[in-house]
Amino acid sequence: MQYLLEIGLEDMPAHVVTPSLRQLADKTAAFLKDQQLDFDDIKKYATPRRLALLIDGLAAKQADRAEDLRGPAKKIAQDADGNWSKAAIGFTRGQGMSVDDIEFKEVKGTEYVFLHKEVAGKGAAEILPGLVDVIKSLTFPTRMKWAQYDFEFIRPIHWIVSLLDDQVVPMQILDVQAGRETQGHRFLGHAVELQTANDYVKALRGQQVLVDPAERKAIITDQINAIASQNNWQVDLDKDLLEEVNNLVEFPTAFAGSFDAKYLDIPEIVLITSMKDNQRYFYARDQNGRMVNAFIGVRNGNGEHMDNVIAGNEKVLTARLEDAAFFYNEDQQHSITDYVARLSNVSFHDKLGSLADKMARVQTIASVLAKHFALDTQGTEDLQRAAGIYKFDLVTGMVGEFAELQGTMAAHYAQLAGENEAVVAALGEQYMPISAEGALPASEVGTLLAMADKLDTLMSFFSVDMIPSGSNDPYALRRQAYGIVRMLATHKQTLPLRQLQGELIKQLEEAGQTNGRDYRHNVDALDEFFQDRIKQLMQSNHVSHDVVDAVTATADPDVSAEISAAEVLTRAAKADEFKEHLEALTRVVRITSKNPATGDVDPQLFENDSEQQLHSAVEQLADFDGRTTAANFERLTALTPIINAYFDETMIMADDERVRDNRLRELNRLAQWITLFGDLTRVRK
Amino acid sequence: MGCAGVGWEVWLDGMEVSQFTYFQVVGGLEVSPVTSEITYGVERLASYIQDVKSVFDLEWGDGVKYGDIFKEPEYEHSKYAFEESNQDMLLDFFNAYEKEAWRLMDLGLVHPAYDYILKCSHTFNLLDARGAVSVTERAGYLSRIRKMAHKVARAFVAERKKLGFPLLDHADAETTEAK
Repeated sequence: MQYLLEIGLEDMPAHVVTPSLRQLADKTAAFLKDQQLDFDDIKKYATPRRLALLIDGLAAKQADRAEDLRGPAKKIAQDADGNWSKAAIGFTRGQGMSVDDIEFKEVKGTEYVFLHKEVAGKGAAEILPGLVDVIKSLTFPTRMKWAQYDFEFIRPIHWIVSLLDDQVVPMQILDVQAGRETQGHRFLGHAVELQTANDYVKALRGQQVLVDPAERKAIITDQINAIASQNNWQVDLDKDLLEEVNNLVEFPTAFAGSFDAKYLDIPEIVLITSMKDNQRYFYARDQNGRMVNAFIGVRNGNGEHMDNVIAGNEKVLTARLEDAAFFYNEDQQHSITDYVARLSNVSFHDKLGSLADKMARVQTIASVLAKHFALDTQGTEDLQRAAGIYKFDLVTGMVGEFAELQGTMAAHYAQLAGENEAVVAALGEQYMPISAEGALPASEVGTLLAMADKLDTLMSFFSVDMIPSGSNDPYALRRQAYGIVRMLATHKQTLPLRQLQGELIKQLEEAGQTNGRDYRHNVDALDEFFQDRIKQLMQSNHVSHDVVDAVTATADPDVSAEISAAEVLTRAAKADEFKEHLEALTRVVRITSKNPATGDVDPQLFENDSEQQLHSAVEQLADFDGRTTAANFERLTALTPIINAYFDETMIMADDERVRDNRLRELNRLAQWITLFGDLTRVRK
Repeated sequence: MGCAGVGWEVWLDGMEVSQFTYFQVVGGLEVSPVTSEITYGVERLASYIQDVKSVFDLEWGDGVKYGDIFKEPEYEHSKYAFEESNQDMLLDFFNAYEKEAWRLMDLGLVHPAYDYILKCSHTFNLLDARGAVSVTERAGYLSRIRKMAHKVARAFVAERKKLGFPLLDHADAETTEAK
């Protein structure tokens, strides 16, 4: 048999269509499998207004099956005389059978009542109405309510087609009863009654709806390629744009339009943003790769009145490009210095001063980072220059109109103004990564600028107690902290963030840039905030939870050191001896965490050889240099026999206070190197 | 104003001619039944029907163009909003309107309070047009306005409840109360 399910909706957002269709198909397949209703294949169809499945080779009914049902134990089911108890009678009756059908079988030494039951499979028509729950279980990135209902869905449902061959399988969602009527193209078609499920694709084609997304995409591609070859253009069929356009139309017709060649003087990135991002057009180049003054759009309709459609689209694009050209020319009438001066009138946040104040802080922060990352003289100069101007494009007309070009325009205008390559690149990279997993800055100066900007944002917001909680993170501070963590992870240079905060605050205070805010009082909260992001990064890299917990339990978050510690521990944990090493090292950690002691160790107070041995070994660890390398961890694990011998032969908590303190000092000295790798007591043995 | 909804930009031949929204939340309160909103668009549709390139060339009435009536005000408002507005004054106004809105809400004067919240919103738009508000700070201003909108919406519902929801039929009034 063949079954058609179509959900008719008000237009869905384009990006929702494909994933929702896949979800509907997967959940339907799971439902049929669960119901043991066989099928050959599920065909998937969707347009902005509909999600549909056509199930081929659907079994008319579930297979008949035999079930062995277990009832009460024999001793409960029958008395000594072999009379059936109420329990036994009730059990058989509940299954629509009688005590004559009872058999006994042994399960784990006890005899039980069993019924052997032949169950006739249910018919497809009886099972398919259950799909209503599958529809209701779909999840979407956004949901909405409509009319007076509490039910939520991606958009309001207007019709449902549910046809098993030629029979309607009833189901209902809110006020919508499933039937056999579907809707044609909004302007070119009509409602149409389907005689059979198999009519679906053909009947809708007759109503100017191409329900197969792959077919639509192929048609759009062919049409665009035809236009390109007629005009001798090269067109980049951007995959994401094609997918989006495909899910905006039910009946595509591509067309070419043009704009005045004078607009080609506008930077390419602006032209592309206008055409591709704002208007969903494909742009074109000539055979030499030069952009041409034309575009290709896709209409949801046929070729009728196409001149009108082209003229309308040209008018809209021209208006956009006219604005862009105006802003582009206007913006160049002023120097970067003019724009920077205006930034003192633009507030960053009312508690945190102007954008000029922010840039001043970022310059201070950048100079500290430059030293940490051993930037050369030229790099340091470039970073200072970039940090001193990088927000200037926010007051240009172009960014006012095309906000998504922030940073990009800064780089473009800086290049026109003759700034050097490194400064230009850094300005273009300042916002990176722009999403959790987005690309990181490629240049060194860009990395440090992006990092300094984000550090300032985080420290400043934390200083005025604006700390994200729950889903409340209006300034996207989590994403910015995660960006810093990812940059540091890529950079592989250790940078203890608590220590860094201390250094930055000192410099900001000396430069008089804290404006009376206390940057210190939420330092702990920011440390923890960073540790959480480091955990997130490690978890996304599938580091096991115990290792993540162990290495992030350090007093001073250090991305590279913690990642390296996690790698070292993950590798070490695979060895057989790991358990033994871990026991020895954590024994030291446990005793010292309860008994902190500082100061020099006095060998005069040693009472046995093992003390002397451990002492010499610990002395040799002094060149660890804070690095969580595999070599350093191996040097620690090499101490296992010495540590074990020490604990065997030495009573730490000696009666003589001087001897006891001396031993605790030794162990504490050792523990400081062990805890470099985090809290090893959290690692699973 | 503490509103949230989903809906569409409505495009005609590449031009956004309107927006259609199903409100889900107004003033921080979930709405039921769901209301919908259709925004601007008459001029844009008219520009297609009359086949003119600029809105100012639309025929407004007999021999009178849209531009004859609106072009000069548009120019003056643009000049003011983008170049001449007094930022310090507007910031003071925003704070004063905000203070007044809260004071009126405390007095239970819902409608005057609402007017002051609208004034805050308008003043914010002027500050924003002038580029006096950074992207970061926008969120802060919007949240101040939203807080007031939430409060006044709750006060409005409370006021209607006191009156027994006179414009709702009985069943709707009960569910509204339950929510």
